[in-house]
Amino acid sequence: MLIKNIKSAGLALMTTAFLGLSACQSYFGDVNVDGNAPLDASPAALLLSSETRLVYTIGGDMTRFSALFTQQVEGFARQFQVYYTYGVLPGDLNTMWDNMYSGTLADLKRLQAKSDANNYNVYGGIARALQAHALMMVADYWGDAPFSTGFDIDKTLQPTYDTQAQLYTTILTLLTDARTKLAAATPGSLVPSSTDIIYGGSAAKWTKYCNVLAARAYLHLGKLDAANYSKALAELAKGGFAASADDARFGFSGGGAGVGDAPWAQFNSQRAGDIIPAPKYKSILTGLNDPRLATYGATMNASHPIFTPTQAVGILTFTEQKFMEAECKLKSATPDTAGARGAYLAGIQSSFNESKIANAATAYTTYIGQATVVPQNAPVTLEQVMTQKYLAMYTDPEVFNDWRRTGFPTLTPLTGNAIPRRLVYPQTELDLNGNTPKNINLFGRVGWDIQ
Amino acid sequence: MKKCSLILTMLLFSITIALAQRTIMGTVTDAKGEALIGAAVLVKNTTTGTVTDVDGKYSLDVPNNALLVFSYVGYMTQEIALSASNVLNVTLAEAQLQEVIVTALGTKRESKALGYAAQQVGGDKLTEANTTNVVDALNGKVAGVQITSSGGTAGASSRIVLRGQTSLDGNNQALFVIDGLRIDNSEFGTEANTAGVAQSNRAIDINPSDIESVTVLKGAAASALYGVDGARGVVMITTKKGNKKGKGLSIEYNTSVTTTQINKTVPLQTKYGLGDLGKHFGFNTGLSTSWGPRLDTMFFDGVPTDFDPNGSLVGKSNPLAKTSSPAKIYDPFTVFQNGLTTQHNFAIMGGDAEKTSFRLAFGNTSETGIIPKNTFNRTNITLGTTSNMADNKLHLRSTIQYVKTDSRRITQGNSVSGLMLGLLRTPPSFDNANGTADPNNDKKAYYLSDGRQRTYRNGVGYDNPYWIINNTPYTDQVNRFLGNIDLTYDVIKGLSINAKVGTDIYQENRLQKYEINSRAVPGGRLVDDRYTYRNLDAYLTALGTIALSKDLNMNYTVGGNLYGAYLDNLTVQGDGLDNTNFVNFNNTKSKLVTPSMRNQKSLSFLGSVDFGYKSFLYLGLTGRNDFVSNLIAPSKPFNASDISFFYPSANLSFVFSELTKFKWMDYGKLRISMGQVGGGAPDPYLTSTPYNVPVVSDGWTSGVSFPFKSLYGLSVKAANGNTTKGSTTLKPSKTTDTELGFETKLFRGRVTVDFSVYKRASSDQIIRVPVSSTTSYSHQVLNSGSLSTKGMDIVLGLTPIRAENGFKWDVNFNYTTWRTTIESLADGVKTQFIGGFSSLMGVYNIAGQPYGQLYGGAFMRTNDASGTKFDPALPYNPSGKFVINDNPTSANYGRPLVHPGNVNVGNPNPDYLLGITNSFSFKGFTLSGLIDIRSGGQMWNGTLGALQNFGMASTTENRETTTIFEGVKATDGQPNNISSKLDQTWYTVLGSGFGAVASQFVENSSFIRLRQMNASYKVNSAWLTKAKISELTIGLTGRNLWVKTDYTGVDPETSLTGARNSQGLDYFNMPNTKSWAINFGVKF
Repeated sequence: MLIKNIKSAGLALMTTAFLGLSACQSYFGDVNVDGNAPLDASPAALLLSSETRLVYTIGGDMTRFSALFTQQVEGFARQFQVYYTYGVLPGDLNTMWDNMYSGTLADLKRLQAKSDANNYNVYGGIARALQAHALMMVADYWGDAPFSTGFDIDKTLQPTYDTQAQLYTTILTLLTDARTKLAAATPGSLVPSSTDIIYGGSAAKWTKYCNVLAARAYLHLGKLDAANYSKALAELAKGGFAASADDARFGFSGGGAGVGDAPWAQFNSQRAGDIIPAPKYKSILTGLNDPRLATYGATMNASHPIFTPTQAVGILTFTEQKFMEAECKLKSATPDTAGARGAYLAGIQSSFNESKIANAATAYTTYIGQATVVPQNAPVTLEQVMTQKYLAMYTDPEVFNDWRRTGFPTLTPLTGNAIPRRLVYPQTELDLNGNTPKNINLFGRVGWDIQ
Repeated sequence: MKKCSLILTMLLFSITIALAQRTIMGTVTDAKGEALIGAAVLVKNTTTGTVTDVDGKYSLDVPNNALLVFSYVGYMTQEIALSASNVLNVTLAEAQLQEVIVTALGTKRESKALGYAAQQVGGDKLTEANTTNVVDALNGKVAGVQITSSGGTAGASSRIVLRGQTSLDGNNQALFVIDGLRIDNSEFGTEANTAGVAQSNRAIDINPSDIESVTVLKGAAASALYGVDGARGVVMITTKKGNKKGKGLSIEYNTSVTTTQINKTVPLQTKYGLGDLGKHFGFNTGLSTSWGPRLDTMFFDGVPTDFDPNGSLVGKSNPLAKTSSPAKIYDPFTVFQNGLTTQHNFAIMGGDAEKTSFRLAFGNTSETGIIPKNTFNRTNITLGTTSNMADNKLHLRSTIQYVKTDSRRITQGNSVSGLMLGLLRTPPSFDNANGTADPNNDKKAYYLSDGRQRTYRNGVGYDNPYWIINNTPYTDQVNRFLGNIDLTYDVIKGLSINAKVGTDIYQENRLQKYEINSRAVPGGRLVDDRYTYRNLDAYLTALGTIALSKDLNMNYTVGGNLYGAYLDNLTVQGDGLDNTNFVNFNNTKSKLVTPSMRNQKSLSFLGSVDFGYKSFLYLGLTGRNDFVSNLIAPSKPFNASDISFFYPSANLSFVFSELTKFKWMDYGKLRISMGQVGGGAPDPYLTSTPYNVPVVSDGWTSGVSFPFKSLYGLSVKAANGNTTKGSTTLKPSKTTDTELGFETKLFRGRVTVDFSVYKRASSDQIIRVPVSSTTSYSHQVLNSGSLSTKGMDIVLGLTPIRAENGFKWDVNFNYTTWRTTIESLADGVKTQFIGGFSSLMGVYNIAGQPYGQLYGGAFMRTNDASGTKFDPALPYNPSGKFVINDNPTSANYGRPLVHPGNVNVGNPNPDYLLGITNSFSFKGFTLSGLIDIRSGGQMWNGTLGALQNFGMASTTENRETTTIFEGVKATDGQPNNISSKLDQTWYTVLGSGFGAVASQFVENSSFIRLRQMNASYKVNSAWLTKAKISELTIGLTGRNLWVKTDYTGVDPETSLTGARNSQGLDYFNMPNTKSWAINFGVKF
């Protein structure tokens, strides 16, 4: 009796279990699917977010560290006062690093894979060009950094560090591949349009951009080998920016809401009073009777003439290209001083046009009439080129690279006896990646920054 | 049903019918004459017996001259010899020392039968605490529990952790259960966890007056039947339902009025004014720091400005100086007011306890905080009923409750619109109130005459506190419905079927406003954040009792549970207001809508068996099998075994006092339990890797949200900055728990001891493992990581005096200690961020360390064997000496060097907690006091760090002095002898909270406090009876009247991130309160 009962109880339980489990699936249904999160993204949506993130990172965090270290701006209050005197902690760099890696580069890699799989060649080209740009920022500010073994979480959780030289090889390869894709006979069934805020999907403009960016890459490597200056000029010869209209600029606009405004406009409003134009920057402008003091030296507030909510933040410009040209021509094995002077003047003129000062054309003529700006009977000096580039590229992160490469303008440490020459690795990377180089401080040098 | 037949078979086997000479009938009742159902009646030394029916009646055929044994759980066993009569009515006396405790699923058990720790707190002990939040009312009253209130604002949350943490980054707070069914105790954040307002934990909706009792189930064996959520321990609330005995109508009314004050402020300097390097700066300069000249050298010029009606400050030698009008020192803390709370609780009880009775209650709490215009109101309407029907075979218990809470809160913490942030940074020479009599309502305090905000930084910087009080309000409203129905049908003697269904439904609507020119969002903002929560918890169980033999009883429960919890959140953020005075979506230039959801379901089978042998040995076994939705990987075919897990528990209780004959020992018990609890994922949707609508930001600004320029953007990086790779191969996690306990009562109850030691281990945790973002992701979901806890709880009760005249003195100690250690995180991962600031000072789990360590920058310390050098290859040594910068060209010559990178700089977990309650009672008069001790544990005083930077901390009053830092010089390891200035260059760089060294602001947060003090008098007079008043009580309650601590900031019982896992952070937290209340209660 008991045995029989146990048997039937067992049978009943098994039946219940079987019926129960098949009913189980319908009971749970799709309850573990997040109805608000799509599992796929269109190339257009991916391009918009990664382009935005790259520009906001360059125009936000990176521009501030560059401008604080090179004394274009002064950290007047709170954390920025500490950064201004070189109190930068590894933890302060987590966000910028994450925006570069798990943000911009990761999304661009996804965009590249999706584009290549479907032969969306213009997307494929842009994805590579922007990767090259982001990776160069990383290589310039941090030196060695992961790339070749990164972006494959199933393979490794701790990617190795490529040397800065390896990264530069990767950057140049990316740019070559980008130009190949952009030049491909079939642009693909999908081409970018409005979600490419920078060029609206123009393959021609992106190709010019690649040429100028490759020139910038060679310029950065100039200290290592002077031949790189000629290589930079050769890249520009492939077709650089013809005018400011070719600038790689990203126009912001929050429509008055604040969110979506250009990074400096947001900062000046939301962190008002934390950063002001630096005495050093203003004193150079004053010393040269520079009319750009009125706009570039303006108080950082809501009515700043340059840092408007709708500012089109340039990440690679005709002005910069002209100064690059001037520098390369001066430093080439066979210097071309006349060419350098021409490029130098074109750079200043382009800057004046951008600077939103009144009567820019007349002001420019007066300005270059000064011997302190343009020597009458002598070639322009490297110091003059770099000083004018420093003035023209107000708060551009390229300025920190320029100062490290050339030492111009001459800066005095604001505390201690050295000025930062690189960034330290972020705390997250120190904690999570055993390959992160140890004992790095702000005053060390990256690969191309040889003494 | 097959199970039932099995049990019936066993019943038949166990109860053999003996040869009968006579039939005895009768009723078994308790002392009050109430029938005892299911009482055992046995013929001594035989297996012949029966149990009483629902009317307490029995009938049994017995041999002549038999000796009958009557027993019932919780009552003294009686042996009665048969007399001539065939009717034998028996009254069983309650076993005096045996409590009956409400245990898992709401079943009542004799406390001596429990092989695990469960501590019960009566409802009266909760109401006498006079707190709005029921969690606070438990503070100091239960061993094994740590309760931390997040601050002193009205409506602030409190965290409750039982016996340590079991989850690396999931919920570690106790599960709340009402009448056996789960309710939600979430604390959602509308803004970043370090900013916004102090939110509520949703258990705040419970009115302590509606609570009959609270049982705290601490270990896995106790809580195993609650499944996944039970691993964290369970706070089981039993609500009042009606007349417990007898019939009739009674009315109860209780009221209290409480006044609260700020209990501890932050020490500020009062000597120096706004300025830099000793130079005076006017308020029109926008300067932020108080590194100006001594204020006793400054005078007003007598020309009134928007900043000060007395004029601007100038030096003594300035011709404009009016020497008759020296600089004024303003007290910033005048912004705090006396708070006021009034409570009314009204209840009608009626009906017949035997048949149908009810309790209808109305409660209202209305609180105004110590910060003007911070309010919290709660209204509860509760109907509890019990009903016995169908010849007393069908029992219905039910509670239905409607709660409405609404509040208005003040922004705090790490926000330039945080009240304490701007308030404490204000130089002593600036009056935020601008001399107005009623700055809370007078715009002259917080508006400049040109319409901009009046701040000491000329409209920029930080919000004026009165601006915050008026112009950045946060309001919320919760409408909540809690209901449960519990239906039991007694099928046959000793077998019942129970169905229990509960639901918790609420809608929370939040509105955070920022008027134009609020510093956090100068363009103005409006956030409408709506939560719709709903759960359904349903059980169907069969419960039975079987007397297996005359000495061996068995209780069993078998059944199933369906549970689902659904959360839908819609946040609409509008930015860019067009006009002032109209913070409304019809006035914003953008509207960003963010939907989110959080749905989970589970299906479970559960069972338990309890054996009782001769009333001294008890064995309990439980088993539960869960199927949980959050382990389902949508990309894979459904397989029930992927989401299924079984876990057992066992507990044994040995009441050795039943076998010993010590006169002085009333009761003695040893217990042991072992349990396991399985777990699913801490959150749903971790099994896929979707795209998200990102917010591109740099951490300093609002950034860019999408749609941007009416274009759609997607990224794997989510709006919160995390890029999480899901896992399709998750398996359940496990927590195992072992507990040993000892309980005794001595000298007729004068000494009671309940001692437990326990150890628990949680492994295969499902966590978002932080990974290098160079992998494309910032986090990867993995089954990885383990943590373990060892701990001890002691409850000690003493009655030093129990005098003949009725005077009684009781002392009760609740001692809690535990240590939860992170055993491992993941391969190559030593730290895991769980909250706070990722750079400045965060709370991290660190492998090998206790839960939730403070992790930040530190001074360089010697770490080599000789104790004279720092070796970068060796780990940081927290007890090493400072390594002093001896480079004469350095700006920091003579000052300590900085350690490269962040290190573990503090442990917020206390060593132990001790609550000591002394109570004295004499003829209706009761006086009691609860002293609460938290020993050990550290807190990051980020407030101090920031205030040092601004020259506002009182510590900076030594700014004109020098010091020689104790340490060794970097180059030669010799003791430091270099004198260094403690001036602005120190306090704004190395001595700054924004600088590299957060460790210097980590302080001991131990405290001793007079948590609670009660004096009450129960009026006992003849006129009461005449007035038909059955009870009249008046009382006085004080809370937090005295705190002793070395912590230099606000009250160290505080938490920047609320009740979340990241404890031990103070960054401009709101101060705490002390209060006095008068209570009055009457019962008709």
